[in-house]
Amino acid sequence: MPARPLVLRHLGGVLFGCFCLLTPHANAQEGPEKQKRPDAFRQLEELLPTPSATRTASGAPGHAYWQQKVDYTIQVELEEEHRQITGLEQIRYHNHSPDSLRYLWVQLDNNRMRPSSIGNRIAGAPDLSSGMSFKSLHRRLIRDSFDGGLHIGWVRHQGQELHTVVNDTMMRVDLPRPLPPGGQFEFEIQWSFQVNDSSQVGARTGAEFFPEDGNWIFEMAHWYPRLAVYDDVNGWQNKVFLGSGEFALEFGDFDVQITVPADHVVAATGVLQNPEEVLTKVQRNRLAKAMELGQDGPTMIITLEEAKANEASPADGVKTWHFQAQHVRDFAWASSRKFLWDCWGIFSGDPQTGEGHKVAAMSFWPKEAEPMWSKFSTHAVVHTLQVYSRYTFEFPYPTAISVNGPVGGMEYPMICFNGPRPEPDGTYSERTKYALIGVIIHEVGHNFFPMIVNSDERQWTWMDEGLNTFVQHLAEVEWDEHYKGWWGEPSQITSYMLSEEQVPIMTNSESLLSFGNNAYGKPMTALNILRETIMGRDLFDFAFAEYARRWKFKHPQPADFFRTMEDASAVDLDWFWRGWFYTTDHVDFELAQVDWYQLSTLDPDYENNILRERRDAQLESLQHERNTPLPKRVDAYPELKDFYDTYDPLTTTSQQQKEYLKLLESLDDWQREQLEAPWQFYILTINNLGGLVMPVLIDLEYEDGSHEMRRIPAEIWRKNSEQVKTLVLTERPVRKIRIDPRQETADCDISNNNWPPDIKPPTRFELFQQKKNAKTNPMQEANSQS
Amino acid sequence: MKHALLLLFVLPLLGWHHLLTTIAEVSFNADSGYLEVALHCTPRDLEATLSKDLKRLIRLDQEKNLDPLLEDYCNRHFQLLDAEGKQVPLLWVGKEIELRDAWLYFQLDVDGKWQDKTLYNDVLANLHHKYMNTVRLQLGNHKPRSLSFDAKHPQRALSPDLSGQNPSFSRQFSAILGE
Repeated sequence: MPARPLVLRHLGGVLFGCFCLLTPHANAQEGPEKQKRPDAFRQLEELLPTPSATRTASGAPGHAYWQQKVDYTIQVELEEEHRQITGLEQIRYHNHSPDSLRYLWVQLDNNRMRPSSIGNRIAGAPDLSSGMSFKSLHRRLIRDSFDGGLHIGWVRHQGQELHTVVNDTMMRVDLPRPLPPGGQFEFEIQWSFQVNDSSQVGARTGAEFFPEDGNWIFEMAHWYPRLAVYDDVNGWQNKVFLGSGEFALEFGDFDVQITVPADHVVAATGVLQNPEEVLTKVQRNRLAKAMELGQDGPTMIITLEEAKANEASPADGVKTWHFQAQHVRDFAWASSRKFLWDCWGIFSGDPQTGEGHKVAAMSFWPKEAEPMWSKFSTHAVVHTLQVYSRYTFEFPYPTAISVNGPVGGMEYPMICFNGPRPEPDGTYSERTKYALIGVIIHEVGHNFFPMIVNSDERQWTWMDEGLNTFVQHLAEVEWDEHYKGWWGEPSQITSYMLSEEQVPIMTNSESLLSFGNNAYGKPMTALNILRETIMGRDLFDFAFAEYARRWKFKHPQPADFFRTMEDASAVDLDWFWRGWFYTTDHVDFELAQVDWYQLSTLDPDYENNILRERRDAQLESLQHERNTPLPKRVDAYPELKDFYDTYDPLTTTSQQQKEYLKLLESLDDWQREQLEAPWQFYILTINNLGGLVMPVLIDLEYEDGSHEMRRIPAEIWRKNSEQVKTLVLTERPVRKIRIDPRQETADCDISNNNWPPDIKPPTRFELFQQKKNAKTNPMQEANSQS
Repeated sequence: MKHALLLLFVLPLLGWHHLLTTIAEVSFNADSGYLEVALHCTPRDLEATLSKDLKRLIRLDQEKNLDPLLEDYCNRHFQLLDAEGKQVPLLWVGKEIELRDAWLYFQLDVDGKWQDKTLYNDVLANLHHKYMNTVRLQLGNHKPRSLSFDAKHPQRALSPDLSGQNPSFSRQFSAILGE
């Protein structure tokens, strides 16, 4: 390399934007300022819990990880006419913690439906600005009078009453003596409650009445006293249920006997143990056929005609349906004489080795949900299991069930409740069709998050809703083309991210503002950006699946997710978690300035010619133009002229020529070639106006119209998160530069991303008006051109 | 109940997993002096709120004369108010209703001056108390910004200088008197 630096020809610098953050010269005059910029790359250790033997710094469960286990044996009876539930449960609590426990906390979440519940009392005021309907008033009055809470008959251990204290939706059971580490404690609870009529009291559980035939559909959730989680992070997770933060539950085994009217059909978490007692021989044969692998679709177990006949003539007496479920965190069920039922047996496992098991994918629905449900529901269940398994782990449970009833969309282990139905005449809109498929994928998908990867919903809604909505999107785009672009485009979240009424994603479930955007939309978009733009699909997919694998059947916390994603990918994402999950900053890059340079040839003749051309190309000032014709004194008295009247500083001197030749002699061949090379140097100055740092994605449009994309990782902001400069070196001149042209980063204002600046892009309103004003439709236009 | 309305249909039940949000893009057209609004909501919820308002089942793809209904709805639930609390005229432009998206387009005649106006936005808020409406503002040379509206805070000033101040009038009160 030459001893002297290369000389660059500066072709121009353009400063854009009126929001430039920098005043470097002013700072220099006032004296050096200390570093006051936010450190976007500060590591998260100060925010995350200290790693321990239970949760490691890698994000994996540690060698001392433990969690409790709770087994239930339950007998429950549904009395249909009065919607009354009566139950008796035996609970075996396994203390795997290193602590002695003096009491246990039990969730009574149905107590949320007591008029005096905390959740009821803190409910916001309704909007009365346009009046109130009788129906709304009725619902309101019922909510203030209906008692849907769990009435505890007794709590006993070996026949002796245990002392209990109820605090809203939580019940403390005092133990007769401390339960030591490794110990077990068995006790029984007897309880009853009235099931809410969902047309009057909406909840995640309830009964729907069909006045045309006088029948009910029951969808039963949080219907029994459930043990709260005791873990290494919170001790007891015993926050009362206010209505938004859903559930935190321990894994265990369930043995449940459900007694219902004799003609009811029951769908439940787990596997039916007594088909001979509750199903007909025809139904059992159909089930056996449905479970033969290789079927190309679901088999009807109860047909439309059979369901119609069943609901038309209620039978006397009762039947008891017996289910068992292992390794589940909850148990839900549905019961009605209206149900149609189909089943499709699929294989979950490795088809190459044959290691795996059969899964019964099933749906239960009333005739009012036909024909949509027989066409789509079980297909959507199977599709969900297949796609989710690819991105996480093989579905481990023996059944996956979708039920239509009063609940719009809610998930439980192996079973979920989904609301969409067609019109009364059986037709349905395209929207209803996709609403049904979407909600089934979402709710069945919850089997993975949080039923198996068992995060704490009461504390962190995003950990199950955000992650599940993300995988839901992956499953939907594999359903059909219509789903293209429905979810996950970063541009869809920008308006929310600009908004003032926001809290960070890392906010307790009950304190979230704009619940859907915060807990579903923003985290799923964040994960999508990680996958598509920051990490790439290979790195992301492995790390995401590793998180799911590590925490399958365990209780992960946010730090376990954040750490695993880094641990499994070798990508430092602390800046990303910090910005997207702990702040309400948004993305707004501004391409503030572009400086363009070329290499000087050092040839004085050539360089002077360029400078002369540039000088001559400049428009003469108006004043100079008008003064030029004026007679000049030096013309009248030529003796006044001297060297300077003819001197042109851009005329090459012989000395300059000599020096140039000498320089050329000192260069080697490669160095001489570079002087002739067409290198173009563009220094881009980019301001960060929104606060979030992200990769800088630069689209170069060359003069010949071709494009090149350059992707600079977010670490470019590591020393200055407010402004960066980057060099773009090309062999061809660039005529346009765009930052993030495909809107990958959720940049909230793309009008300041271009050089040279664009004329303001049309708003959505203006685009609509242009379309509206068009005289022809697109088809007419195409026809006229052909 | 002076303003009680009897509903003759079953309101579609809102699922637990529902985004409960609308987004309006509002830009100022210096040539016309109007604010131009593109309001996005989900068709399903739009059907639900119109059905609730009109006391009959509304299906967007079956309603023969939908535009006047939508214009009337926007007039009542997306109101721009001047400093005296008087509603700025809303000029209906049109709609685009697709599978997942409903876009409503209209202008607000602010006569070139938006700075002293207050926006009242309770679109779809009667469906669920958690409904959050976001309005993205692109007003003149100001940086884009967003305002949030919900059932408890349905009213906000457009000017950043006035944001946080409570207008001295009550739109809700006038609406009740008007019905």
